[in-house]
Amino acid sequence: MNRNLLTQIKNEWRDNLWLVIELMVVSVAVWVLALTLYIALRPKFEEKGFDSEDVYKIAIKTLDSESPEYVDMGEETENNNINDIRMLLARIRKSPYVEVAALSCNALPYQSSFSGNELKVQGKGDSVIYHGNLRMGSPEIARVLRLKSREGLSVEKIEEILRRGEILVSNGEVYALSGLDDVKDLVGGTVMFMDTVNPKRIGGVIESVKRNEYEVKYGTIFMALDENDNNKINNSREIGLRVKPGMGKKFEEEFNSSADMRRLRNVYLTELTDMATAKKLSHNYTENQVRLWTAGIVFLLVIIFLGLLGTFWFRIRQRSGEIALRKTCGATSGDIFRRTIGEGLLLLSISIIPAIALEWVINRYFNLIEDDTYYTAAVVALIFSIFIMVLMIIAGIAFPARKAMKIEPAIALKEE
Amino acid sequence: MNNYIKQIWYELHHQPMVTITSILGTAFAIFLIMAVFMTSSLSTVAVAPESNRPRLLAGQNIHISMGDYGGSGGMSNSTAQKLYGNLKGIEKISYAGDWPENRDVSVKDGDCVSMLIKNVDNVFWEIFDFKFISGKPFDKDVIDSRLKRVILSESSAKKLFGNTDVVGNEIKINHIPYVVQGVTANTSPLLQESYANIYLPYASESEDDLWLEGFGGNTQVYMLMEEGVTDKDIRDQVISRYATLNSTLKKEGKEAFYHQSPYTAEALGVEYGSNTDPDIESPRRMRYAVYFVLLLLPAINLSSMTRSRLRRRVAEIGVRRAYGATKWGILNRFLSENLVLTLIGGVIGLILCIIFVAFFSNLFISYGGTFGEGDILGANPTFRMMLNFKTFGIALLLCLILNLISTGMPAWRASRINPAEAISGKND
Repeated sequence: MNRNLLTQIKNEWRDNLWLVIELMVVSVAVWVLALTLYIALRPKFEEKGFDSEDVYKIAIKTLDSESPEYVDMGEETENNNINDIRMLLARIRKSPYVEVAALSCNALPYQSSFSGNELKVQGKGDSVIYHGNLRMGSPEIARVLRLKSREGLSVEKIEEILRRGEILVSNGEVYALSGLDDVKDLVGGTVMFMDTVNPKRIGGVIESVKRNEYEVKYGTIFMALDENDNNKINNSREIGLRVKPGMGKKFEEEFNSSADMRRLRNVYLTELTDMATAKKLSHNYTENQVRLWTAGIVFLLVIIFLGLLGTFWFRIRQRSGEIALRKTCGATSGDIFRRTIGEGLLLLSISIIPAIALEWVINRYFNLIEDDTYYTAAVVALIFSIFIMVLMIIAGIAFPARKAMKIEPAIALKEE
Repeated sequence: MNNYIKQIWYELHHQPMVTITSILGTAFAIFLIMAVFMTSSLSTVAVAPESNRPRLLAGQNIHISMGDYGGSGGMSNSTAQKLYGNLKGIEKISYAGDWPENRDVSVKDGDCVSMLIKNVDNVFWEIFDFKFISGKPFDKDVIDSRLKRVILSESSAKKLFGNTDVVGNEIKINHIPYVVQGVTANTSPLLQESYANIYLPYASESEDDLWLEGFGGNTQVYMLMEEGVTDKDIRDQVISRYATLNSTLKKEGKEAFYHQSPYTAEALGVEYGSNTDPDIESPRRMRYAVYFVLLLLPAINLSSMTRSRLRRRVAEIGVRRAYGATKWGILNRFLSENLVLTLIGGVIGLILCIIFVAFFSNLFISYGGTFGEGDILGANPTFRMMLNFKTFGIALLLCLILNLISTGMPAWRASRINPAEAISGKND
């Protein structure tokens, strides 16, 4: 039967060649898209390292001296402005709707800035260097973001570590750990960081705080911002706060209606944004890309579906005599159906070999798989592309194949 | 002619399954290709207020090494004048802020609203053809005297005042009062060089805003090329300005790096940094690859359908040939017959594509790029940006190509049929 099928495919080589080319091009395109999708989506399923529900951010700004509302306090202006930031933060903390609030400098997620820094760790063997995105905030930031310990510590304990002036580091695929097997081994090491006199201790390990959920984990360095230190407070900081569960709208109303909460002399708070909005903006690009690639796969499959439907429709019509003869010789309707579908699957098998070769060439040329770990992804994408191509072939040929099953031998042969 | 149409109608009518599949296949192909074409040509399409896009260039950024340190970012006004001032072949040059930014805007003691602000000079309004609903653009006096004037977009005026008749009214931007001098008709956020909610007069940087020893600041220039001048002509002059600058800098162990500025509209549509060259070739190559796949696959499908359809008409071809029809005549007949199908499919595809791009394309394409925010993320292209002769021309051309690929080969083979064999049914 299979040999017959091969002969039949060979006899109609001209039609089949185009079909094989089409199947090959679509297989390759689906593979590329599936692989790209996999690479883009994989980080989404990892731990993101924070909980942003009920979290808001507020921008801190100071009036320009050009403004008629500017309060000139002479030499004291700058110090007073810093104190006024503290006062406004205290007013936010007093709100009955706020659970916890903190000053933040790049600590909040869903923004694109990346403050790459490296820690030269002492006391843990020679030249241990840790790379990470530096995030700073008042110790309360641990509770605002509900940072997650890798050592099973509570969020209050993490806050305590920050309050002691110690540094938190995180796991993450992209960090250098020369000589150490586990990032937890860094705990207890010291670093001279942003301070040339006092070494800082690494106090704990948290889950990497990603900039957005589609980002691959990277090392995170968390350090406390001392609210009592005038050098650490300025208008480029933000306020990050967690409202009590479900109290978001109430807090927004309070903030928008209370001038006292928003303004003190030269300092004003503005751009109250909930993290859900920040997340939407931050994810927009990747989510659009994911939709585009998915649509690409769907469109390609529709094209294949139409192509198979059209080709086999005519093929069956042309072969009605042959099918009738087969039926007279004892073939059941099931045999005819299986044979028609089998023809499509055989064509797919023929197209898979050059498709894999082409995929290899494309990967060499475009460097789709940058990392060795993605070889598994490439195989997964290949299996996925073959699987949905098989489904498409069955779907595209099923309709003509059913038509073939229903051919009445006597009528078809008479027409011949 | 009448017979011709009758036969086409008969063919379409007689095989409804094939007709529908062919038309849908063509519509689908045209839809996909045109969607790629339309969305990728948005950065270059000439539409008000960016009607001058084919002649527009933007000079941006400075990347400089100062020996032991360096940096890249916006350039200062004096750097802009050194690199782009008085170039040959430039009709107009406008100095503007390098990056629009959000600031707090309020009317009287009303709540603050965050709005996108762009700093522009008087020439900006001559290069970009805005329509003014009321008031007028900045003139040289406003810029030179650094007057506190603003121009609002129609939607900003409505948001702040509830109407557009607001010339002479006061608004506060970051708590500094300004007087409204004009209101422009709304434009699309996708026209990113000209779009803003509010325009402020451009002023060269204060000492505090300068960096990189005075080379860095927050200025960019827009230039309008004279007719017949190419962007390469201008770029060549800028390259020699860089060479002059570097001959001085290198004596002090410093160096300025050139990154292909000034940029055309196409380059501005590609994401790049202040220390990298915009790569317009890769997206172009990718687009051509997509066009190729999107043309080839439907063409293969349609070709197999055409082949099957022609197979049923072998006897007819034989008779036509026997009565003196030439091979070219047969080929021509089938090509034009099929063109009717292709054109019907093409029109359906194009209409669907325009509807899709106008209403849904921002679900698939981030027009603001990776860092696009607010208005741009919510925006879709307007009909004005899509409906032009180029779009229709390309769609028609694609239909012709698709028709030629899908029908050319089967029709050519059909035209070579031996009349005697065809009539006897040997070729069936």
